[in-house]
Amino acid sequence: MIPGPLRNNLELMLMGVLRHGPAHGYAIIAALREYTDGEFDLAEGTIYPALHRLEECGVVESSLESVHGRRRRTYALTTRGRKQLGTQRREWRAYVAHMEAVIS
Amino acid sequence: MNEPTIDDYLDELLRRTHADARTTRRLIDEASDHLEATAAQLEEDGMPRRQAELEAVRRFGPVGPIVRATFRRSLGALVLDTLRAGLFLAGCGLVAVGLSGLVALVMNLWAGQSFVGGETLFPGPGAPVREVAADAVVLRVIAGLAGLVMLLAYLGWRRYTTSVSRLPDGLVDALGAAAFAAGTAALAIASADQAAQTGTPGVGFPLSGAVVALPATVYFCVRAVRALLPAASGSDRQIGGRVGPPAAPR
Repeated sequence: MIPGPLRNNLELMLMGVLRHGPAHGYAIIAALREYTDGEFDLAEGTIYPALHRLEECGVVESSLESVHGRRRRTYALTTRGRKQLGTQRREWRAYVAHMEAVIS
Repeated sequence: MNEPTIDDYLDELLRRTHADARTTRRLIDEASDHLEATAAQLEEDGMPRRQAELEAVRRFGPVGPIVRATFRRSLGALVLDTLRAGLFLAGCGLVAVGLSGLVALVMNLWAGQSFVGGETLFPGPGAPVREVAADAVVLRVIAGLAGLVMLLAYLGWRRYTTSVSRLPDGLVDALGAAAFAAGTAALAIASADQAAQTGTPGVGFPLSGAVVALPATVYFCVRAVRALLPAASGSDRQIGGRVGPPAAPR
């Protein structure tokens, strides 16, 4: 059975990007594209509801800044988020290893 | 072909996002910043402005999945806000019932127990006047105390949750006004009907409720009007520090 937290891969990927440091939505999408060589070309707008959900859970926190007269929200992993990422990463790796064992 | 530009897209997002004001504003802010940043980057890469906007919108994705995800996230909070509003209204209703018990007590002392408990339509024929008159006080006051406990729970809930309510301004007050107005009308009609059928005995039973429901209606109407008409509510004073046109320059 797929572990509960891994059902939402998008949130795990967002946490994975934010592990490298605070970033706003546009930069997160650019990083996702870069890390995956453009393989994960998701609809960019879908990351915002996911980021809002992560913030409500206390996994990320956000701050506002003004850039070229526009309000820009930057997200960062919280301490709790780092712990959560560590746990989910272990679960993900175990899941991949098991899948590999089955299909190889 | 009418493909949406950034403004068209944001209009559509705003129109279809059925979330609370804060969530909606935040989503629009972020979408706007993201779309403008993408378009600016594409323009820098040599794409004409209109084409850059169309491409930014295409990359951002259709509005549907975004509003659905936002609504799902907002729904839980909306349900909690509705429960909290229900607790407030139920508490107010029960406190009003308790106050009507005190009014019934005054009526018992002032006009005699038959005014409240005599041949009333509500408890059924044969109920002793004294028992009905006493029950009208005791049971209602117990309900009022339960209402006070609910209001205290509501205040505690509000104090320890910092989020702004997702419900539209004035909705709870308008519902309260409507409920109390309906109660006032029903109890006033029952009082008149009782008076027409039996004279004064038993009139105090519904009348004591109407006497409390009427000011409660007025109270909730005032709150609803103040919430729905910001210009009359003092909101301008809170935001701008003053109401009315700016002072003429000297």
